[in-house]
Amino acid sequence: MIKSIGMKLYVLLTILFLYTPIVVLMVMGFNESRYNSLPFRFSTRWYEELSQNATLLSAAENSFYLAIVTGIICVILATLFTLGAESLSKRAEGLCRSVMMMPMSIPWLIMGLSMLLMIRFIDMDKNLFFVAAGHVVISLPYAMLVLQARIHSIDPALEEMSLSLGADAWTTFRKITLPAIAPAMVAGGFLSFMISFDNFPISYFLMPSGISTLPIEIQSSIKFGFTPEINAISTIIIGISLACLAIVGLIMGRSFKSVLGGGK
Amino acid sequence: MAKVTIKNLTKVYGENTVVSNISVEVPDGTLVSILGPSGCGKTTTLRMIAGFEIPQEGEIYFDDQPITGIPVNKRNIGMVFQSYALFPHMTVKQNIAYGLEQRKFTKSEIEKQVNTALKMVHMEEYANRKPKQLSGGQQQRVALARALVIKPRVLLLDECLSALDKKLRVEMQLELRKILEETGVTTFFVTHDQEEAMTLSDYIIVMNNGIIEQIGTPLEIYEKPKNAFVASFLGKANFFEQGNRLYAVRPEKVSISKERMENAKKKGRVSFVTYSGSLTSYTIEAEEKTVVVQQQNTSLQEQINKGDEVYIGWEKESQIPLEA
Repeated sequence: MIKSIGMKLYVLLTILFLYTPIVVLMVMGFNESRYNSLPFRFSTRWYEELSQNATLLSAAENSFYLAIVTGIICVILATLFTLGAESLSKRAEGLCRSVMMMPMSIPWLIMGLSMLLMIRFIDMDKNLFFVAAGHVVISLPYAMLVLQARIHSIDPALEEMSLSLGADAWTTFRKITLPAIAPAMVAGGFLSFMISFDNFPISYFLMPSGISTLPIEIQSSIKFGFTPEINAISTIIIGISLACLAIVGLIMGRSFKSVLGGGK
Repeated sequence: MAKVTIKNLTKVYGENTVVSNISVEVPDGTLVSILGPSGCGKTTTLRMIAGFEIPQEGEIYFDDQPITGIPVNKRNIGMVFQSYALFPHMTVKQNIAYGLEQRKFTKSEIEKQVNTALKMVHMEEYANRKPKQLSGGQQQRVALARALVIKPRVLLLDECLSALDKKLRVEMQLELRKILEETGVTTFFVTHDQEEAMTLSDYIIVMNNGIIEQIGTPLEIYEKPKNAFVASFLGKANFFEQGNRLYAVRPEKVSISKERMENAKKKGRVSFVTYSGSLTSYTIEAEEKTVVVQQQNTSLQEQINKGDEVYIGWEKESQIPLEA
């Protein structure tokens, strides 16, 4: 009895620990006070002001486009790489995989700095292409992780069976392999989208002046005066991500959950 | 349907010769088992016939056409794997239709042939299920229908009954045999189960260490094994040396009695008795040899117990001379 209460309490505390800051942020977005202070008085004032705030909105828009491009590129690269690596020898495959995963273990700050130095070194101006490339470098390992887990769990006999039934390699890919890895592609894309959308250091180092992303905007607003508009836009983003997760989960059903779970 | 000829086929992985210079000719419409312990090269041989592996040397012919240069998808073969490899995202019907779609049949023709195939394996009512919703035996039937519906020249079965439990496996063996006799397709059946090979096949190819030990009908292989490996791999055998020749005698061909009989060869002591319904097996220590004897149980039989002194004997015809 005591044990089961203890266990429930433990779960409750863990959830509180994880989500209290987010809940506070969301609630304060609906508080009239400019300084996130109590007493709480409900208001949609900050959402109205946000709708007039062109800087914040355009930064959000930039972040969104950048993340979409990053997500798509990462999925394509990760899928091609993982499928291609299957035909390499075990040693070469392992080596390639380690090289691809390496960016995960390098701090983003250092990655960003090294990219900036490289741009200087080749004597070019900062531009959006470099920003996107930087985002791809740091997001790719996450997409790879998800896709590898899935591709390795596919029975190789399926593709052989398709060939034996008379399908050529391209048809086999389209009709057998692609449906099997589609949930992982969606999940991998989503993950790299989130990594990119959230990224501050790479964008901070590589963004050309005059353009900014949401993380950069949020960071600078802390320096120059912070209004609950930030809470409002954060709440909207959380809402959109949850909705996306739910929709993807619904479409992909169990296979998507299993990808997030990491198993079969 | 086709006659299959394998000539001097060799497959080497690194320093490992998996299949070593094998040759065999399989008449059109026969069912041939490739039998052997794991690692004997049987699956590799099957995969070379399918086209998943390319031999270093030798050639395979369907009728008189060499096929080594033809890719898998142009060979017109049917396959059933041990895992069945049903496409998980397709229904039973879509699975069976897949091969026909690749062959550009019209929709109505595909529909017709899929229905015939479903009927053949008694799976009509499961047409719209996904593979996950089927039992092992049902998946097996679908896999078979999918392989046969394309009217392959050669059917290749890779341990395809091994995943089923014993009772279902025996049922499927009989049904498989019936279906294959109806379709008359030349079939290669890879297995490590000697009983299954005997029940199913017209011919058995016994392989060991990458070479063919013996080819023959189940009767020939069992009654006239060429060497000690074949004799002991298919069924049990007692081995005797006479002069410098080696002989095998099957346990059921050895007679046993407490009285000295006419054909008595040896005298010994019973060390172990097992009773399994229709048969009783005796292990006898006779003149520093262990002899296994199997007797059909009858109501008139002499009671022999552990520790009894017995005579054992056999007819001269039951002595199988073996190659060294």
